[in-house]
Amino acid sequence: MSSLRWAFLLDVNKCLGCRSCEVACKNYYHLGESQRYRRVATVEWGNEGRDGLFFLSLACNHCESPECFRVCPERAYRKRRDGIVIHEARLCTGCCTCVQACPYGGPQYDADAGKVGKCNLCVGLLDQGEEPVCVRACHTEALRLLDLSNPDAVAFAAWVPGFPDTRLTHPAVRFVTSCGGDWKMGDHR
Amino acid sequence: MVTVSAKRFRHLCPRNCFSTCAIISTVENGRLVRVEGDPEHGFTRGRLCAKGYAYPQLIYSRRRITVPMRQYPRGSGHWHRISWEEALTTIAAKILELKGRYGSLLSVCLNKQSGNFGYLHYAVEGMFNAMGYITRAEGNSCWSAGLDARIFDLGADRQSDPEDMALARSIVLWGVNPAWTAVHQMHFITMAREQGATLVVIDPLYTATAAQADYYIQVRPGEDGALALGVARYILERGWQDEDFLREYVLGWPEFRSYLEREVSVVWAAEKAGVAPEAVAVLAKLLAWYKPAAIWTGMGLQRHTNGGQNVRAITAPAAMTGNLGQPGGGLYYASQQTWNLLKYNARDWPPPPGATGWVLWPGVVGDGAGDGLEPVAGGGSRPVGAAGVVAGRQARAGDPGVAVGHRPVNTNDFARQVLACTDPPVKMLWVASRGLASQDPLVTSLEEAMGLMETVVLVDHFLTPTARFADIFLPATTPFEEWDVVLSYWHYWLGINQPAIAPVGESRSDLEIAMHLSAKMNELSPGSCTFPTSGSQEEWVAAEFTPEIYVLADIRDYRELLDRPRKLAWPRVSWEGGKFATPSGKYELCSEQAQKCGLPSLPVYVPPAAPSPAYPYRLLTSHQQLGINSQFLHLGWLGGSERATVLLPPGLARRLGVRSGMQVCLYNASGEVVLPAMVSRQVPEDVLLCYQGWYGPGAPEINAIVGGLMTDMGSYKTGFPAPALYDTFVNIYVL
Amino acid sequence: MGGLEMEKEARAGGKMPGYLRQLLRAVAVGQGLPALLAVLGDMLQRPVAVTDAAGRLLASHCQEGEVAGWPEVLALPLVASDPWRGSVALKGGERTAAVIPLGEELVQGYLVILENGRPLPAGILARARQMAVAVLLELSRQAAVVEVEKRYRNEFIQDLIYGNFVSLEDVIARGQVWGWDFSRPYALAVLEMDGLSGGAAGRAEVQRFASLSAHYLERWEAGVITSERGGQVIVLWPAPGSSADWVSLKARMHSLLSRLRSQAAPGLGRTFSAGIGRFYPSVLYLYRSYQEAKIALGLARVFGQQGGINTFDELGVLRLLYEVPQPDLEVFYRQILGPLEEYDACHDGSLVDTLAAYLASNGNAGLAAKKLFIHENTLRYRLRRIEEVLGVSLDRLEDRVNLFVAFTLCALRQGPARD
Ligand code: SF4
Ligand code: SF4
Ligand code: SF4
Repeated sequence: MSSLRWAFLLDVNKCLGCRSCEVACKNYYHLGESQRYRRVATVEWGNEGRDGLFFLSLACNHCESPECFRVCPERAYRKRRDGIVIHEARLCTGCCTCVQACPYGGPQYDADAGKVGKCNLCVGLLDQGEEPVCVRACHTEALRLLDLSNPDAVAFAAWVPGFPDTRLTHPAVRFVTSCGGDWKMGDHR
Repeated sequence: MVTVSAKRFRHLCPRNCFSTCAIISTVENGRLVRVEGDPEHGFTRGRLCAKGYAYPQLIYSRRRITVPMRQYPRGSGHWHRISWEEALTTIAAKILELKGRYGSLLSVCLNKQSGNFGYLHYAVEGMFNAMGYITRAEGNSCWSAGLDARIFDLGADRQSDPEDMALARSIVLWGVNPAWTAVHQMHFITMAREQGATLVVIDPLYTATAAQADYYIQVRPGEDGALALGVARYILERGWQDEDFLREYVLGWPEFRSYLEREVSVVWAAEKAGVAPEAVAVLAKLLAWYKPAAIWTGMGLQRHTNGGQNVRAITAPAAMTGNLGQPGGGLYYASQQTWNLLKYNARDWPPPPGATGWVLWPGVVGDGAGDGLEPVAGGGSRPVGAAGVVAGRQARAGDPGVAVGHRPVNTNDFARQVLACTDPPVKMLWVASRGLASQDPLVTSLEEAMGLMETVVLVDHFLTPTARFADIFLPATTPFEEWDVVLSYWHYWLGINQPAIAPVGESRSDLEIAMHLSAKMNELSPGSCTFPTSGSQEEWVAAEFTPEIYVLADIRDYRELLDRPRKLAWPRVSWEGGKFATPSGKYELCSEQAQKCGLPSLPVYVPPAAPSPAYPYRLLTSHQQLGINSQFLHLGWLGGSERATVLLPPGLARRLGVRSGMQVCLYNASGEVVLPAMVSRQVPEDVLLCYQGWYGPGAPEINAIVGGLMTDMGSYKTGFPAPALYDTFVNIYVL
Repeated sequence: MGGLEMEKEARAGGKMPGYLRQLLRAVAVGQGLPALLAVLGDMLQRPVAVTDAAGRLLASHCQEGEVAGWPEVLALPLVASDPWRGSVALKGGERTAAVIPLGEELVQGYLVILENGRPLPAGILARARQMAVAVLLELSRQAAVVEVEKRYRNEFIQDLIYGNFVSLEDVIARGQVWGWDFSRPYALAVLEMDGLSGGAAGRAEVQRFASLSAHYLERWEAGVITSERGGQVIVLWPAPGSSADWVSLKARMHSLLSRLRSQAAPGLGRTFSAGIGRFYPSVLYLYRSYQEAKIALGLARVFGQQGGINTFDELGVLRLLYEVPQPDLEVFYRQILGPLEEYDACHDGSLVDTLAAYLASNGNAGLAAKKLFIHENTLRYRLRRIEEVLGVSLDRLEDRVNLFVAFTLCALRQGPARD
């Protein structure tokens, strides 16, 4: 009875922070200069003498309870049965209410177009059975798609440090994480 | 959505980068709408790096200059549009006037580097070759010390197929950050790791690649040699060396062994390198017991006064453990092993008969390429005169008993050496594929040298910092507007680059500029340039292909590459069977050639340059993720959120009271630069980090304070040593 | 279970016991559960009933002259042994019964056999278990039909509450298929069980919760529509045409949800919390009401509340806070409580906890002292310290409001726990 529900799956152990995904998306959709539907953040951490560095490649999370969708006065948003939160640029007046409401920086304003845009999970490609542009651009398969209706999906983490609060919007993004790979043998002092 | 009118074209990224990606562009209604990776290419596998995906913005950037322009007065920023006719006439007339004034073209100088590795771009060299002998910026600022080190050890700069790194059981990334600079290789590294391989990253900086590693070893900058010698000593102490391999295939093991026993201890090495002794043990164990081990040496670590020596030291334990000549293992650096398979047709044109050129004392000729492709004749022992300039005199070709050529100046000491050229002086400069005003060491010294020039021509896409010095700007096409063929210095794939769109504005390719200038020269002075004045770009591409490369690519015609790229059937494994290209035919731990160049014959420890009390912090200027030298970084898509910053380690930041975002001033005897600070755990204490490159108009010029010292090696292969960029020391204060 | 034994028996004797043949015939001709139970009851000579997994009565049978008094919903234990013996609450009082779960991995319902004061003889029980297979067969057949229908229904409701439709006309037309009138407005509530775990067990509980809520709410209020999504039950409540009646509708929703809580609790073994969105005069805006209901519920969860009914338009300051960007909240928090945290860190103190307890006790020092297990004088001394460190007066309303808000933010800024 459960049907397909798309989510992004990011393997934090494999993400290189190379930003190919980010710019591939920009290139494919001709985004405005300041728009980045997908963004790669660097998370530096350190405690008890151990340091670490990892990267978070994030886009719109196609939330279960999308704030963008709730607040938009033009009803420019909708959520498809497969979970994809669609922003219909046609209906957008560029009021940016959603930009303020989304905790994840999903919707972004393009001054040239006078409208907001956001990741629609490459719905055009997906509907033709192809992978999203960012997933296809990923060098190490760190970024993939996941079907949340699959019972195995519960094995993945719903949150990692550096990611905003998930408790109200329930973003459809999951992570593979583990410590390790941070054994620093240098003792520079 | 792909519309009916969409057309797709194949391209190759010609930048100075390991990957040389195969790109497919989509053109709709004459406009290039997007790029993507070519899935038929086995190394780049349908993916581009972030920079590659930003090409559409480069092509259509509002800042791109697509018409010829003249700046008057120079440096004023007052540019006005001129016609190609006017530009070419002005330039040709100037060249001919200088030729008349000095009796040769030695007062004309070419400074071209690695901005575009397309074979048709060698038309710039070709055009000047075809006019006569000029003054040329030679040498290489990038990799020459490491290159010489490899030649001394191995005899030639050859390496195995990088795709086979997937077969390694241990991978040592020594001072290389492929997650940023060769991201496609990370796939093969990940494959190896999924098969259980161990990944070690050795780097003073905690890089994105280091974050992936099983072991990260934070070595002190310039102390890589000490660490490597410690590993060698550890192997020796345990008797883990491959005695059979050493006996059969290695020259100088007894000498090196006794050096290790005499001078090196593991504790000393760990102390020098600033690492825990366990790090030495882990490396030794991996090399000796987890074979095949792939050791990839980066280029940063050879940008030190002891850089070449460090590279030799790093390769020594690999030879001791017999990690050479097997699939999956071996020494990786960068290699142009396949480049001579193409003809260099665009480059190699004869001068007009009886041209006057330069004779090197004692009568030897520089090779002209200056990119490390062929050894410079008499390499390493060229006579050096004032200011390090290669000594020589002007002479006419065909004069009995002399061979004439171009007058070489060290591109890494360009300003000083150009100023030292007096007979004749340099009066005109042509800059192509090059951003010298942001990339040269101590860029501020360019001012005076540029003052000498009566005409400076810049061929480029943008008004880079170099444009300040230019009189005439010629707009170049991008790879999407021209034919070309490019080979990689890393992988074995061959492809082709076809134009997808008409040249934007009035831009022209280097090849077209060469043909048109040749036509203009001959119009004003018949016979003054032998460079062809006609021929389609595609014909020029065709002319680069040789029967040999057709066999290796298993094609009969270059047009077959329009269907898909091919992998060359080049030997997958280098140094198979222990046959090396050195004079002895063995791996030379003890190199007579090195000794002849005034270097130690053994890979012994040489300490790095040390900071002074006045300038106590080392400044590293590594490559930026989103730029290749002066390219890409200034594009909004990539640099939009990035600005030039100086990264400080937390401890130092605390001592100085610096917090992220504060403005700080870095200074040394050469000058000062003001930058925002960023506190980062990625940087070791006592080190500052600024990613080099051109961040766009108005960005701080970090190279004002970078440089001054030279690397130990580099002269043998490229004719000149390279700048020891990472031996830059500065002080800092908070604004 | 029964299936194998039945097969064995059939193979061994080549003939099937007569009662089984009779039962299977009843299934095959599709006479439905009542007919099946009649056969069963006659054979067992006991009152029998079948419930769904949630304990809702589907069919029952009694011998002539007997009145069992079956209730609408039987409170059965969730994980029953097979068979389970115990007392069940009937209308006339407690009776002991033998209960046989129907279905192997996923329990689809229960067969309940009332006892006459003493346990069923083993022979009868074994026979009853064989016959249960026939009941299960019928139940599965019906369930399959219902499932398909439910899926279409759920999909439509999801389209409705996620704005996934073309126009109001489209919604109205599709609603008519189900007999719903979407030309009138609806209010929306979201219900979720408290402290539910994930996994298959959680799934079963959710299903049980959903069918119970559907059962009661749809019965109590004509036109109520329920649907399950992601572990939550969505309730669409037909509303009077204007927002003027919203207050009384809200009150009615509150009271029915409370009633549901008391009715359903025995069968659930858990409490549930609810969120109610705002009222919009057109179903076009149901999607917004849905998001609001979830926020009201989610915020209650963030603040650790259970079992409440939370209305979005009564969230008050919480909602305002929630809408302020995180960095601004952070700055506010630092300004108000930062010095106290620093003081605690330097002096190994517990002033933050003290103040929290004091405010949580509505400023009653005696109560706060008791909560903290300290003497009231110690508390007073600490409160003075707090006033000094923060430069505030706890008697001033403004200062107290600021401190209250800052503590509220504490919960908002903690972020989800790492698993
Ligand atoms: S991430 Fe932001 S834009 Fe995307 S669905 Fe969630 S709230 Fe909306
Ligand atoms: S799914 Fe498509 S639109 Fe979304 S971030 Fe990836 S490439 Fe961009
Ligand atoms: S392409 Fe893959 S590895 Fe690179 S930043 Fe994106 S997710 Fe990470």
